[in-house]
Amino acid sequence: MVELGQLEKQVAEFDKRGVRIVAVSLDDVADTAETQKRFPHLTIISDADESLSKAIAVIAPQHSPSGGNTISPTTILLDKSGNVCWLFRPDRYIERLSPAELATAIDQHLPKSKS
Amino acid sequence: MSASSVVSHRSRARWALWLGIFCLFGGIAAYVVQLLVLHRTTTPWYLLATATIGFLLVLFAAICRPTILRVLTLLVVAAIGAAQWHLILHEAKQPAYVGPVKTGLPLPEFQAKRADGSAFTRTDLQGDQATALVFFRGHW
Repeated sequence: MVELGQLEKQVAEFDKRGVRIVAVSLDDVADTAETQKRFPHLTIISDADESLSKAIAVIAPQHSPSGGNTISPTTILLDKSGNVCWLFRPDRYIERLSPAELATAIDQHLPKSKS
Repeated sequence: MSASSVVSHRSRARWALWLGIFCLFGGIAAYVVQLLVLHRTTTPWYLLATATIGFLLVLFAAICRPTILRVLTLLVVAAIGAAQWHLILHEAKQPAYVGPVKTGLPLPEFQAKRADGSAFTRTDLQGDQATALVFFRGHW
């Protein structure tokens, strides 16, 4: 949740680069709707059926504290056509890209997205 | 050993005990500050140092004066320190990505849901903006 707050605060930086932030978790739609209200400038997605997470293999089976499936923190940059430009997975799940690091990655890997 | 050197020895051991406990919990407190105040989500490598130094100091205190309380404190400090080492070096480690996502290609077909319950599919990743797709481990 810390990361979402930081991304929401820096949304102008991403807008400037022509990039929208789409945040995905395994939460259900009801929880996702509550999160969307708190972070209105981000697009919050529910992948409760694990359709997206399994399709791109970012599921960590039985890795949540309760023993269920969870997601391996991953960031993917896609251009306007929906093609992948960059994928980043940290060495440890306790690490995340900071908004500044994400902006730098956008500048490096999505040069044509700058407005 | 003279009376004054015994007192000095005990005093050093007492200081070592409290300093060791401070090291261990100070490292944990620093991580909380890192996350909640500084909002920095990097690996807290310093926890390995604070846990090890804390353990060694408490070990010294327990060797100098092996009371039941100090031995129990040593066991607790050792357990917490070992948990930190395990978490950072083993538990938190992620395997390298070996999935189907390839640079220059679209994602495979999928169907997720937006906050209003409507479908969110691969075609929603095309448009007048590029996308940073960020996957989160836990619940919101």
